[in-house]
Amino acid sequence: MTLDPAPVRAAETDDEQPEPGEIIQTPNGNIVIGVPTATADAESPVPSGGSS
Amino acid sequence: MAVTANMYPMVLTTTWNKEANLNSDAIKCALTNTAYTYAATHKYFDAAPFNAAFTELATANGYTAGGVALTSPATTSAQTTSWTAGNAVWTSTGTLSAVAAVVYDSSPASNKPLVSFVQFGGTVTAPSGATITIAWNASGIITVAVT
Repeated sequence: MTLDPAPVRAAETDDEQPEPGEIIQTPNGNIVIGVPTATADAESPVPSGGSS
Repeated sequence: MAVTANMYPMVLTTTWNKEANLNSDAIKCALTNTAYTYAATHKYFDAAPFNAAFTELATANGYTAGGVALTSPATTSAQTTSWTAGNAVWTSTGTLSAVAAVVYDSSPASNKPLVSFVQFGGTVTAPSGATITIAWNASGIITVAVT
């Protein structure tokens, strides 16, 4: 299955870097994909109250 | 649609039981040009169900099957632990197109653990001579926060 082209912003300089989540194409034609960090969150359980 | 990234939760299992070593093994980034639906239960690059759902690019147009190695892996340890490495870069020798990328540990002979997945939000295409660079976030490729 062919997907539509991804949104690509035209960069103004060859050394410009994308924001996380965006794709840029530099004037020399190179494509740079800005990747956000993939995260996992682990919340420590709060001890329940109570007495023995 | 913006670029998105997902961590495979199973990478915690595979690192804890020493199937994967993100700092000393050969970590690679592979491309696909076919739609793939991320699933948190996917565990290995070279085994079902992942390899039945993810069609890697064949060797052509500047891409080599298996993907590129990520250099300089590094881990930071704190309440939020992160892992990162050098950017993945391909130089197109024809018309190189991709819609997504996957990071995995290529060192095991089989059962190569998955690390993370990047969806481009559509197709990116580099003409001959141009590069495709996957630029990881300064905060890391993956992070685990314990709060």
